[in-house]
Amino acid sequence: MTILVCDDDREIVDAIEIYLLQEGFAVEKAYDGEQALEALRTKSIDLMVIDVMMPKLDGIRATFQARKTSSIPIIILSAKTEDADKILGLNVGADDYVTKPFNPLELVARVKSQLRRYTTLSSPISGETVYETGGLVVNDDLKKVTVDGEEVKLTPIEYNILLLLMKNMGKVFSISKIYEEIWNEEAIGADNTVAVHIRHIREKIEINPKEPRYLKVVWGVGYKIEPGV
Amino acid sequence: MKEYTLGKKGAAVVIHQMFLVMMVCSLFGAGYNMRHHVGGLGMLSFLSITGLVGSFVMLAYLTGISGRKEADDPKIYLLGMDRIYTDLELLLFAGFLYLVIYLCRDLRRLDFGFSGLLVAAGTIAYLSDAIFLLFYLSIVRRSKDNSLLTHSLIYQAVSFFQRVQTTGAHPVRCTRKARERYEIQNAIEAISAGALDTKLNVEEFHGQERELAEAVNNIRAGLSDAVMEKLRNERMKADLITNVSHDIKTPLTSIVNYVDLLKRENLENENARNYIRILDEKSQRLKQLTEDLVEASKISSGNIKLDMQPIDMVELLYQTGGEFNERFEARGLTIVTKIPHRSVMVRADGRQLYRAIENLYTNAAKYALENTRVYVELVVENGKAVFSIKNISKTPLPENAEGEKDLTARFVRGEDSRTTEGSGLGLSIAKNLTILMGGDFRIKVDGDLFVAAITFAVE
Repeated sequence: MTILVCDDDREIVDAIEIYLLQEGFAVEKAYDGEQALEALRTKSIDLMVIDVMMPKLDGIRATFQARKTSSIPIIILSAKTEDADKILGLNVGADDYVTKPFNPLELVARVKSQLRRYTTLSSPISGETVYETGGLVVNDDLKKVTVDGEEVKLTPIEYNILLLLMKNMGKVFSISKIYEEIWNEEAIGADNTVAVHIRHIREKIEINPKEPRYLKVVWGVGYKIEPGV
Repeated sequence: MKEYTLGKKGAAVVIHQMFLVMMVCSLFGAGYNMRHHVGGLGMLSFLSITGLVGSFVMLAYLTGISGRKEADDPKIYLLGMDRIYTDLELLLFAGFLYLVIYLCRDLRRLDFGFSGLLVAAGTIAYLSDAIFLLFYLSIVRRSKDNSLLTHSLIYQAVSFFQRVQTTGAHPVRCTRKARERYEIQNAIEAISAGALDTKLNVEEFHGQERELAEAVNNIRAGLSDAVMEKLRNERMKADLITNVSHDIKTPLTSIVNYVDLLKRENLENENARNYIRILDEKSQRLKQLTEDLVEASKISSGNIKLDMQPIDMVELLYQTGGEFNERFEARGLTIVTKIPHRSVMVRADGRQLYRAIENLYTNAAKYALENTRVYVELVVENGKAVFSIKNISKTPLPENAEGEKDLTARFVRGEDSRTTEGSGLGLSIAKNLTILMGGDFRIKVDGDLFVAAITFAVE
């Protein structure tokens, strides 16, 4: 697996290279958008990590150009943390957006996640009860939860909560609604229990539990599973 | 462009009067001739008819152009005398008519010669017509201006009494002066309430009130400029901070990454390991600081989009509690919650309200004395939902008397040493977010007891 890392700051590229080499990836390096596009043309690249603010050709334009010919996963790496910047990045064709300064382990986890989703054929065997969004798959026949192909161990209550949300993808459930559905009891004076379970599920299925991709918190309303991630 | 200059109008008046005098003189001439049985009736009647037609044509023309300056300009220009009330003017005109008739009553008895008769008739006709034109054209201009009726004493009086009757106010308050003052007062109140686009139409005010209205407009313009300037400065400051923080983040990324790589080097030297741990902690804090700084400046400049929705405060507090229980447990803190068993709906941006409350929880988790209780309360009273969090501070808090330290000011923390974690921005962010969403944010310090409260109107 070859990862193309592109940033005009050479030390950042070198650091990322060290982490990726440790995980057994091959690394190609580029220092501006043009070099990145050149590398995509001439070499066999499986995934690209690209910075936004760079000389000659910035990461947004480079991503836009790359998407015309290539479908490999692209992760944008940027110091810009505004929602608008993230939305722009994802709209021009990036698959993920990581903000600087980043936790190197999180970046590696995201690289692996993107690669698994790109390479694993996610075609569930017909006849099985399977719910999925993005890389998150819940197989209710086997009572198994996988994220990007890797199995995640959930407690029975966590599993039931996740299953409830997956079955009703996109629908927002309040704490008391979840309590009634899972415990089959009326929620008189709910407490933190459900919220704690939800956080535990998030810590298990999300790369960065503080910025969840699948299990979203709708503050003051409830929880939901984001459909079509 | 067709212009109606003063010269044109003057010429029209002169021609009109020539025709009129011609008509009057020929009529009188014809009368004289008939009485003295002299011929020439045909010629005289021709002259009088020509005069009649001519003077009416010119009058019609004058009616058309009166009050206008250009063919393309629909505006009606009033003259000084048009400011006299219509009914007064009509009265004056009637008086004038009476005077003319009164003066002319004995005219027939006087025995003029033929030429004397013509001169007298011509002069009287000329003078009366001049004054008639003055009144007539004034009336024409008013009717074009639609002020014929409204600009009359009777109308003003009727509408005044109507106002007195319908508003029930004291008659003094229904005069023009009072009305205009009232409008100015309204405008001032609107401006002081923040409606800086309130503009008075100076043309509608009179005398002293006009000066007042102008002054109010000037104050508004000055205030509006100052506010815009302040807003622009805040934006610039926010942009500057954002840009600087972008520039800081890039080298910081390298520091964070290489410190992490050093950590993995399995160094033997105990000192070196300790130094790396410090580097790690401080670089993480620097990272947090830059992020908080951008947030704080964005929020304080109002540079943030709010998605206001009905939010259940009870749900939000349970959700927040779920996020924090282990952080509190780790420091031996017990949360005591007093929350109603039913929904408490307020209007806010859920994500931002969570951030405000999250900051208060984080504050308690960081600064509360170990092994104490943290009280979280939500009460509904007088249509307001009041959320409060109370904790015992581990370090003495600044006195709440004079020289009071505003804990919600940026970069201010309970203790003065800056070695502990935290950027000093948490309470500032929470306060500004709350105010931005229309809520109220209060902090009370009583000895070591720290109380933060957020209030929103219940939907």
